[in-house]
Parts: sequence; structure tokens; C-alpha cells
Amino acid sequence: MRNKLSLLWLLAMPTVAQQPPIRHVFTIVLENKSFDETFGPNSPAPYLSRQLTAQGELLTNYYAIGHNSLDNYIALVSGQAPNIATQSDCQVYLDFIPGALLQVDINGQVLGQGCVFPAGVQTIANQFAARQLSWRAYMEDMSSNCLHPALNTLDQTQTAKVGDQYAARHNPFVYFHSIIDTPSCAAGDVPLAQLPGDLSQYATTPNYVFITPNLCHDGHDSPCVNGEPGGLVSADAFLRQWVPQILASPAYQSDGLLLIVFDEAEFGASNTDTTACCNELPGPNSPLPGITGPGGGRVGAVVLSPFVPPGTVAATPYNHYSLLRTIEDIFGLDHLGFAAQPGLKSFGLDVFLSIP
Amino acid sequence: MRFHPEKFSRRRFLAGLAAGALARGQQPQPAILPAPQSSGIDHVVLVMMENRSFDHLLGWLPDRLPGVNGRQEGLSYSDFTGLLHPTHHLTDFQGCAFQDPDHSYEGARIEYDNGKCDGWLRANDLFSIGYYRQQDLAFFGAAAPGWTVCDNYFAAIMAETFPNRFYQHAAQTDRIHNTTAISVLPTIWDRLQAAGLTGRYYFGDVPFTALWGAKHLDISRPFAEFLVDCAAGSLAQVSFIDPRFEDEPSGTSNDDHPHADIRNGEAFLNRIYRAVTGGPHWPRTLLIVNFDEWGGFYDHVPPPVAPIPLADQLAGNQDGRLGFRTPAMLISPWSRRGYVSHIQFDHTSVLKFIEWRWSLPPLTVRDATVNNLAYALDFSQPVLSAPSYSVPPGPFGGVCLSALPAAVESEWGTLQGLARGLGFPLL
Repeated sequence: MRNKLSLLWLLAMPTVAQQPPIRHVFTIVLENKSFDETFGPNSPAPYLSRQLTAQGELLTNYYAIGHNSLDNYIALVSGQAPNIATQSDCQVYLDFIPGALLQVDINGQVLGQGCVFPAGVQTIANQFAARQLSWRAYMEDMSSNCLHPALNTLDQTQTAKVGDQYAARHNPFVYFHSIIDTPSCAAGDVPLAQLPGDLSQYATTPNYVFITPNLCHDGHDSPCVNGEPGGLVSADAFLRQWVPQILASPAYQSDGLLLIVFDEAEFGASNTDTTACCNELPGPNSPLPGITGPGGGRVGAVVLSPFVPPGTVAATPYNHYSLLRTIEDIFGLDHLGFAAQPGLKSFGLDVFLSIP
Repeated sequence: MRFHPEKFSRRRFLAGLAAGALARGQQPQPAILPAPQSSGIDHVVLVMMENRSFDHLLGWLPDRLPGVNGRQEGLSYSDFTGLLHPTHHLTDFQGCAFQDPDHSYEGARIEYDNGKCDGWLRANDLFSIGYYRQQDLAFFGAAAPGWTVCDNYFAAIMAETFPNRFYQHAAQTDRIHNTTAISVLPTIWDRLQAAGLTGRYYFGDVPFTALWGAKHLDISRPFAEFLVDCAAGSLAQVSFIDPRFEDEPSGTSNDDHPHADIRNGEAFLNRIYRAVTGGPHWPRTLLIVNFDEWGGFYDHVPPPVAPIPLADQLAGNQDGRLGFRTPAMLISPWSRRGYVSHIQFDHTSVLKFIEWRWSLPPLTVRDATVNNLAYALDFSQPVLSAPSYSVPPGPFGGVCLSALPAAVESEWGTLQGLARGLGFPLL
């Protein structure tokens, strides 16, 4: 959502960020690992940290924006900053409680606390739909489309069960009334099993693809309830299974961009990383996005695309808001929430090989 | 077997018609390179000049080559008092009345000003915001609109000459100032030798390779030998050429370092250009002209950061910031003519090209992860024509009596003494 200040800034800048002619963006979100764990010399994820980085680009200073999980997923798709409820992963699927009125501040942030954002709050999915572009979010283990708790009830998907390791809190699209109140949710928020069919043809591949593995394969649980090792080992195996399918798809090969990110860095007794980058600002609803610090820590990201030269590295700082901004720039969309922050950079010639 | 996919070359032809500007409908293509042994390039020649920024020297190029990101007129910068001064066209070729602008690790960060790139007059006098136009440059004025220019090419490190030249040879630096301690950094010459390939370093009056002691004595030759090797068809696979450095303080060197008369640099480059394009190796040669660093002259593009190799970290490179943009030109039968490449490059991109071409392992994380210069070339169809430019040979200018004593780059004199003692073939 553009606001006056960001518009003035845009007028002052001599050029607007340009992007290569990408028409299909794929985002895979993994869980809870700091950069050194994932990309360091002893990484348990060699496919991601060695093979995929050799095929694409490693962003060494990519940061999450908050803790715990949910606020990062929400930031990725809407530019909304953490609030107290989303920072605690919405144990109760609380409807949003606005401040005095439904107010939006100068950074496009809605004032209040809660989990399911009011209908006036837009996401990247709404932006795509408004431009007749297609979007789909693929959720592993989700047993029916657009699956979420009933409003203001306990979220029963917080822990994995054998045979069902779906976590609603890793499915950002069900946290917005602008999506769940419309038929677009059932059409767009689907089980992962639908992905191979959609990838098989250019015309059936959505322009915006968001992929969430289950609580095991995203690296969150270790070990997993079904006996798999979990952690980065299982996440690496998930990527080994799914990334080649994406890279072989006609949509990716023609004009695709695949982004592999982690929602947040470690946050616990040891190894906590709550650092931030890119002048991240707190929203109006929680003073410290990282609960005990300014951000979600350094996680790194891998970028693959025909427009990205293999084996390259960009050390430019980026975060989840930058990623949202980049996708919006690629498709010529407005910047939502903190994606509109003055001075925030989207990927440029430090990432892409060339831009018109 | 030439790399020649039909689809590829048709787009290149169209790109050529547009004289370097990508018009609507011409989109950047996904990155494809030929197999390196089929690239058609068997000889890389690099000449690295001194101390000029892109806007300062080539900022006029958008008038001739649409799409080049260069700015000269219309910019202004504030001094210590807050007074704004506009950029201005320099009216002489040496700038003896001015101070050599600050191009140190520290001064650069004043100029950089956290990305605003507006601190030029808080580190320097008005020389630093002066510029030259096409008519001032007998070589660049003619050649830049006719070959491939890179307008997103940065010095490898936001620091002065020696650190950047270490990057040129070694993809990292063990110092962030110009000092003459002997270096043990592995170099591209080591890589070439280990693979049984040939390399030559041609120096003007001070061999930079003497900073490795005697290790590279065997491949270091006076510049005159380059002209002979070129004409005789006995070029090494990789050749680096350096201009004369030693007379920088007096303003009579030919390396373009202030207060050199830049017409001497133009003449030097034209000599190399004529030798390369007139020699038997030309059809399979890539000639790269670049500058070690921006010299403290203004540029409007904030440089990015890159991973910091260990030697850099130990030397005090804290932020991995690249230096401001420097002019870079690619001259080859495999260069598009009248073309600007916006691909992000730095000095290690040259090393990346060499390593790609001859399958050599990288030296550091920098050349391992940088964009390959090859992406700026067109491997579909060689174009052998190379125009002759009318460049007066000089010599030009003279000793700058009014120039303030230069503490900077006096290390060249020390290095020359060191080199002589090591037995380098100095005249």
C-alpha cells in the first residue's frame, strides 16, 4: 500500500527498480535455521548448500524479520509487521482486534493485535488476482483446501501428528480475511500433491507459487513424529525431491525465479539470533520484532533463475520485506506494508545478470 | 565447433541494430555460455590504468550510446560549509592546480557517505567533481561508443591502488593501503603455471609483480616486449599490461593517475589497441581496458558489497565494499559493437573469465562467486573489423610545479628499488 512518504521518495529517486522479465516466481519456505548451520562447512543440507548454490546465487546477508514463525510468513506475503499474537504463532486463531478504529499507520501497518487480518489488509495474492495473474500456495499434508481453525478457537495444528504434519501457522494465506472470506482461498490454497500437475504445462503453472513443506520436511521438527530424521537432513531431502521438478518445468525454464528461504533463524536457549538488516522498523503493535531483538536473524537465501548466473554470491543485505518488494517490482505492483519502506532495496544487478 | 544456436544469434543481430540500447520487446536473455574451449578466445590481454571514475571519464557516453548509466552535467555536491558546487568540465589535461583526490580506504567512505555518494567535496577540492568529455579523449572518445563498455563495473575494493591491483592478480588483498611488504597471496599466474599454461606480465617502469619477491620474475617483462610478442604472434594465453607509474608525483607518468596528462594515457592505450588488433592473434583475442580504482573522482552509483576473503579480513577490510565504478571496455571480435553491458562486474570478473576459459580453480570466494566477463560477450559470430583511431602520440604535458607534494604512490619508487634488487629487467 503506497503512502505519501514513499511516493515522495519515489519522486526523488532518479530511477525505479527494474527487474528481468520473470513471469513465474516460486518460493519455498523452510524452518528455523541460522545461516551458519545451513550454509556452513558442516551443513547437513549438502544439496541446498553446495549443489543449489552452485546452480544459482547465495544471498549471504538475507535476514528474517521476526520471531517466531508466523510473523515471518505474514511479512513475506503482506508486509505487515509482527504483533504480539503472531509472534507467539497464534496458539488461538484470534480474529484481529483493531485499535480504536481500523487505522493504518504511515507504513501501511494496521494497528491492533491478532491473527486473522481484517479484510482491508491486502496480500500479494490479492495483488496478483487484481491483475489477472494466478497464484497458488501448496501446503504439504493439508487435508483440504484452505484449511484453518475456526475463528477464535485453539489451533490444533501446532504440533505434528502421525499422518498429518500440516501447520496452519506456516500457511500465511489463511491469516487474512481478504483471502479466507472469498472463493479464491479454496481455489488458491491447495495441497502440495497438486503441484506436479500444475508444473507440467506453462499455462497451468501459477505466476506466484508458495510452497510449505510439512513440519518434518521444512526442517522444523527433529526427529519427526513419523520417525524421519527431520531438521536440515529432511529439509534437504524435500528439496532434492521437489526442486528438480520446478527447475524442469516449462514455466521456470522460460521465465522463472525460485527462492528458497528460511522463515527465521534459531530462537531458543542457545544460538538465538535476533539481528535485523535493512533498517528494519518495528510495527506499531510490538516493540521488538524479534521478541528479544530487532529482527529474525540471518538465515541466507538461495536464488535460482535463468536470469541468475550460477555459482554467484550477493552480500547485499535483504530481508522478507525486500523479497516481497522484489516480487512486486517484477510484476509492477504496489509495495505492501513495509515492502514500501523508503530506501528498501529489491534485488538488482547484484542478483540478476541483466535487466533491461 | 562454434557456439551458434539460431535463436541466439538472431537476437544478437537485433541487439546490434539497436546500437546498444535494448528497445521494447528485446528482453535480456537467460544466461548461456558456450563450452569455454569453443569460445573462440585463446588470448586475454588486460591493461589496467589508474585512478579515474566512470562518470568522470565516460559520463558523456549516454549522448553517444543510449542506455549508458553516466552522469556529468546537472549534479552538484556540497562542501563542508554546505555550499553546493556543480560538476564541471575540466579545461586542462593534468589538473596541476588541484589536489590529487582521496582514494584511500578511509577517504572513500567519506565520499561514499553511507550510500549517498555525496561526500566528494568533504574529502577533496573541486578537481574530484570535474569531468572530461568525448572531445577531450582521443582514444576513449572514439573507441568507447564503438566497442562494449561496462557501466556496472566496480573497483574490486573501496581502497587505493595496491589493494585493487592485488585483487587483479590474486582475487583478494593482504593490505588496505599501498605498502611494499612482500606478499604470499596465490595468484592467477600460479594457477596458469600449475596447469601448464602461459602468462606474461608487462610492466612500464615498476613491476607490480615484484611485490611477490622473485616468484614472478620469470613472467615479468618490459612493455616493449609486448609489442614484439603481439606482432610476432607469440602472445601468452594471459597477458597483463601496466603503464608507467614512477612519475606519478611529478605528473609525467602515462597511467592517467593525477597529475598525469591524460593524453599520454590515451596514446598508450591506442598503442596497445593497434598492436592487438593488428597482430595475428586478433581473431581469437579479448582485450580488456580497465582502471584500478576511481581515484577519488565522483561517481553517482553506490558500490555494492561482496564476500570478504580471509586475507582481506586480516588486513582490515571490514565491510567488503567494492570501489566506485571505473571505466571498463571489452575489445574483441566477440564484443558487440556500440554496446553497453549493465552486468555487475569487478576486477575479479577478469579472473573468473580466465578460470572459466581454461578450467582453473578459483583463487578466493570473490572470483568464485563473481559474474563472469564472458556474459558481456557475444559468442555467436566474430566481427573482425577494428577501426583505426587518430590519437596523437605525444608526449604531452610536463612536470606539475604547482602540484602539492604527493605522499600517495611514492611507494612506486620504493617498489622500483626492490624490483631492481631482485633482478627484474628494468631499463
